[in-house]
Amino acid sequence: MVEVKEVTKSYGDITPIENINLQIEEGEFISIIGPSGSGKTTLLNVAAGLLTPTQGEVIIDGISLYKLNQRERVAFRRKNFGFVFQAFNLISYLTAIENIEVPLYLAGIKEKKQEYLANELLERVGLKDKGSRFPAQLSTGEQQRVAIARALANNPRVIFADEPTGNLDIKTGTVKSFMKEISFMPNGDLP
Amino acid sequence: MRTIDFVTKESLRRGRKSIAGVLFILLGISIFVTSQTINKALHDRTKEQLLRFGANIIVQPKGEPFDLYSGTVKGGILLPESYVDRIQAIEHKEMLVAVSPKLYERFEVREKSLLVAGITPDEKKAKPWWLTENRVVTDEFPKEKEILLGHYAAAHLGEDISQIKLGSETFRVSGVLDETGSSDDFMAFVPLAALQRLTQKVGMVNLIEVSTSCIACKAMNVYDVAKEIDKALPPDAKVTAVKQIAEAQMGTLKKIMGFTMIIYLVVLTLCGFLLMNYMSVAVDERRREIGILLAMGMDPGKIQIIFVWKILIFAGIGGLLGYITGSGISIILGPLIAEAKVLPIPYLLLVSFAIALGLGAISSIIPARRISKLDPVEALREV
Repeated sequence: MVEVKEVTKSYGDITPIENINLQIEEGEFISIIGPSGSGKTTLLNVAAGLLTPTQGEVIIDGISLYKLNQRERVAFRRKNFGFVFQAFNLISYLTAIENIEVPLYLAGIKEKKQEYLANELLERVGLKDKGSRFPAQLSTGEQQRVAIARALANNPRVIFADEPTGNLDIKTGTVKSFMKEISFMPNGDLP
Repeated sequence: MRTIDFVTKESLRRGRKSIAGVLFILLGISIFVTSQTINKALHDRTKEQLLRFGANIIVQPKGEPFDLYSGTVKGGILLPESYVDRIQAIEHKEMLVAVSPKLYERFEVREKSLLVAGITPDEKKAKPWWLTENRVVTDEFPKEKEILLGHYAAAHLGEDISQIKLGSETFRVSGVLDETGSSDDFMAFVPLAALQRLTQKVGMVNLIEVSTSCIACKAMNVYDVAKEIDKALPPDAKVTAVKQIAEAQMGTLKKIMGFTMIIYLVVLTLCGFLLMNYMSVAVDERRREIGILLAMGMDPGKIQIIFVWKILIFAGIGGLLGYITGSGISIILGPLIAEAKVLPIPYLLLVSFAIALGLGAISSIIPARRISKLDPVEALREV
């Protein structure tokens, strides 16, 4: 369970988010909607442990994220979170398959298994034959599919996606089912 | 995916920038290797030239000095030849280029007076410029029953001379020295043992000439060596450092060392600055990537390792190529500058690696610290 408690984030006189309370249960799929500059990305960054709030706290499964030191927080993110960034943010010098392997490598999974899992995910996002391509050789939609596959690679407890549908080659309405469909392996865990 | 893949794949994918990074190191190391190699050639050449001045320490018996021109010692005082062994056993013996014991005696040859010096093979080491008919005098000289004539001594005796009788022994003339411009031109040279036997002065010498190389020494000079020799010998020996030669050596040494130090400092500063700048730019260019990796949970320490790995690999490649380039430049330019054949110095390869890796490590400290302080949100926001 993700709990955002009375979170405020200020940058000097600017306060993009103020006194936010939010509770997300396990298995829940929620979207935060608002106009540009309304603080969606700030809230997401705070909730994901990337941006220390000015006030309030974020509790995930009983652990207050910002009470952890930086190293512990990094380890917590690595283990529990998946990210789909606003821009595609694939690593330009790695191929599609290697981009998906990054979180698996961070999780300490051995090379052969990384490759196997990454290929599985690539197949699930419909890019089986494009694993050896670099991001610049993929369409914007394909890049976003790779980004989603990467976010799901370490089978995270929580996926934070910042405008994940912007360039996707599928209808916005089907994003939820798409992510749900690919986010679980047959046994609901890492194969 | 392995940690090293972040280095190799990025470097290969961004080939041009990688080449630029290696080039900075290559430039620094090649300048270093060139300066060192040519400097060594200059050093060797200077050493040889300094040796042309002759001995820079003279060991004589206390009392009246040997009169080289008349070839007599009024008091007839001699030194034991065994002092040579004592000199060669001093603490800084590596600074001794040649230790040449000498015995002098005048003989009547063809009714003319000839000053004959008894010498050992070390004489040849101290006088590498000795030539006969434009050829270097063989290292085996002096051979038993052979005599080498100085330029004017030979002219004095007559050109057709092939044998010379000294006392009861006959010596074959092995050659005539080309003009040296020194007192050697007026003498003849035979093996020391032969002259000792002829003069019944076995195991004795008039003086011992010592040639030292103070270019190679760092903390010591010729005066220190003279002091060491003085300590090693009994009180009947008088040790004198030849002042002008010593000061010429010291002056040349200082100039060479000063020149080398300036080059080292310039090269090291330049190399370090270029590397640091390169790494800083690399960190700036890769902020987004660093932000992604930090957000995904990569430990900042691991990202630092990736950058340090990169610079170390570049340093290794740059060090090797810099050594090859520097040695190549030295071989081509060296003869023009040092007026001598220049050869690559193998141990500089290790020094090049060490300097390149050391500089790489030092130069990556600041960029690595910047990475550790990088905020993933800030890094991603700047996209």
